[in-house]
Amino acid sequence: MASFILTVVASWGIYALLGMGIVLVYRTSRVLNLAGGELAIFIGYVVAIAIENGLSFPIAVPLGMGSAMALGLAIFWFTIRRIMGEPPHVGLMLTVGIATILNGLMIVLFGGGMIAVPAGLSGFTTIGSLRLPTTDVVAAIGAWLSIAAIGLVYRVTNLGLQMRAVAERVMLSAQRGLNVDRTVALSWIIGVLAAGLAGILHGERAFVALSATVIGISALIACLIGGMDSLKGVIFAAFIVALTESFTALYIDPRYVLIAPVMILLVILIVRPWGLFGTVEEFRRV
Amino acid sequence: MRQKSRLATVSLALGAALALSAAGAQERAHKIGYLADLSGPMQDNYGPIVEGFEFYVKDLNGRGGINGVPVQVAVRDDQLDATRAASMALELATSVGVNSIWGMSQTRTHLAVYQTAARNRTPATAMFSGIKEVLPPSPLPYAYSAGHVFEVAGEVSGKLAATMLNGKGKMICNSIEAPGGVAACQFAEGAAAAGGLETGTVLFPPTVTEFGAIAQRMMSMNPTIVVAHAGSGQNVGLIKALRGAGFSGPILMGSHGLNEAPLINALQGIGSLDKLQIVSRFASPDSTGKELADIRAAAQQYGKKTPIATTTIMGWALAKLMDASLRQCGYPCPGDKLNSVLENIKVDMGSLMGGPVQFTPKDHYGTTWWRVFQYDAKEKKFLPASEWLEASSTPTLRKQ
Repeated sequence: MASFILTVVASWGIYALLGMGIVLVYRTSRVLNLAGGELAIFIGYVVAIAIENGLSFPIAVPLGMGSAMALGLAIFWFTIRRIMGEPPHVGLMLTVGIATILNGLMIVLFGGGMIAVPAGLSGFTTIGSLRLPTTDVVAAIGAWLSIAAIGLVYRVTNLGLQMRAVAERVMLSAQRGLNVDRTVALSWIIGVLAAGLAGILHGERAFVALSATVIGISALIACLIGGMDSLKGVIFAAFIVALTESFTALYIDPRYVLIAPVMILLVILIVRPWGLFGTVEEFRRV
Repeated sequence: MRQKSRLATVSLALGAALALSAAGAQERAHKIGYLADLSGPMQDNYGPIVEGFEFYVKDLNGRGGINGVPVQVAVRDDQLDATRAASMALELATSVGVNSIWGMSQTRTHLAVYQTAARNRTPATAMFSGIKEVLPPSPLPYAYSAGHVFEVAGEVSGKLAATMLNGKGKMICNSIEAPGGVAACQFAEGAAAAGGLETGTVLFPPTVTEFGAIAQRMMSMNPTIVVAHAGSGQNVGLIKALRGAGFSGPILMGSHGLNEAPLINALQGIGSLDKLQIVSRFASPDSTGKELADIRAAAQQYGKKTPIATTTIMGWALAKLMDASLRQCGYPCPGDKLNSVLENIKVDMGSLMGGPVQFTPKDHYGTTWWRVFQYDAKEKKFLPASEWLEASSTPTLRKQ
């Protein structure tokens, strides 16, 4: 049972972290980022390749984090900045394009194969009478520390306040002299950083591969269930997704592990289209 | 003046004749095609296979080719896409004019390539894992396989599991929810049950990369041994999760395109690696023998930077089969003639495999030999741990 709980907590943390990244950029830029899985695994590859080339895990991770932040800034600077204010489908398709490009880059730059992200720690961690797999312990602790750190930045700092202001009243924020571009850029930097950390932790726990971009689907399902603009919603819904996947694999049939959360999503979308904690938004064409 | 003009005409004619003859000499080559996923999602598996194939061909051409005729390989990248693979097979067979197609990608591309090749009377021989539907006992014309066939691999793994446990215990087969994986586990279960074991199967979708709960499910079935017929990376995830879930028993992996070095690196520190085994019809890269020494020498000569893998050996073995078939065919060797040769061929593979590759008109796969390779934690190598086990190309122990 302890292993099952740890599996759920680790998956929950990874989906919540990746989902937070998606929600953060959606709140400020109103772009539904469909490239979350690709961004995560791309950064996972950066760290895996760095370790393969002799760097240690503690050095490779900051390198991956730096790469994620640079990638987030580049995505904002070269694409998002130019489509701000355009209809929602433009941003959506843009992220589809980014996902496609990242898929190609992962093949060209990293070979597209399956590579582990070894933390270099021993196989098991003993806590009291429990003997738990270290990979899952590292993934769970890493994910929840990252969530806490991003949550603190968002809730406590001035930067977070600015992001929340832009998320809630973009026109008013601009009129009050807030640099909206810079704030949106910051949300993309943090969003891609969150995705990257999720990718690194998934790689540490399992491995990175092109097929591993499927974690982006799980995170997106969590965002849609929780509400696209709700951080607490995505954290809650990530638990539902992780629990459903693990429960299905353990007690029903692993073949349905990817289908089960989608079934829940379909029910939520029919009953409460804006998600469990999402804000009902009125879209008007101006 | 007239004499000068005649001289010029004769000179031109001679020049043209010489040029044509030179061109003819240049074109005097066995043109063959090689098709694989070289930039798609499974390039890690197929890259070393084509590398091994090319090492052999370079070596062969360096020794003067086949009876003085060099081998030209037209390599095409199908990116694991069946439609793309079929159109490239068509291009190779028609525009390029190859007499045969070798290599090929995952099972999903096989039927499309086999059918295209057959329509163009060009034999196609797969090296990567395949499934029986397209092979004996009613083989498609022009279609051959010299690699792992999942049904055979499954049955062999089930038999080996039963032998290892002396017919007592429970074998759980784990594979992807795909025709090859399902078939492998059905035959593994059938063979293990025939050997006295209790059995079970856990299948998962091909895109799964996190195996925590799946491993826990397998643990709830109380396995004594786990047989895995998944991809190389999935094996990494599965083994990590199984050891994490507390399973310390033997894990027997089907070597369906395995690169040992990355697997070994990824699994360090997980524990109980001494109970990790591979079942394969090819020698492991750390086996001994003349042919393996030849591969290592060629790899060094042609600047290979990473260690050779079973996949490198697979490529070399396929090229050896190609060499033998073209040698018997002679020159010129059109597709039809080469097909007749392949239908009656027997090639000794030396230390590369446990026995010869042998095809007949009714059996385009042939009898195979399989061996267990045990992980040696001190050496960090997979070393031979059993004799070669003979297997029929028509397995019968499918679990109903």
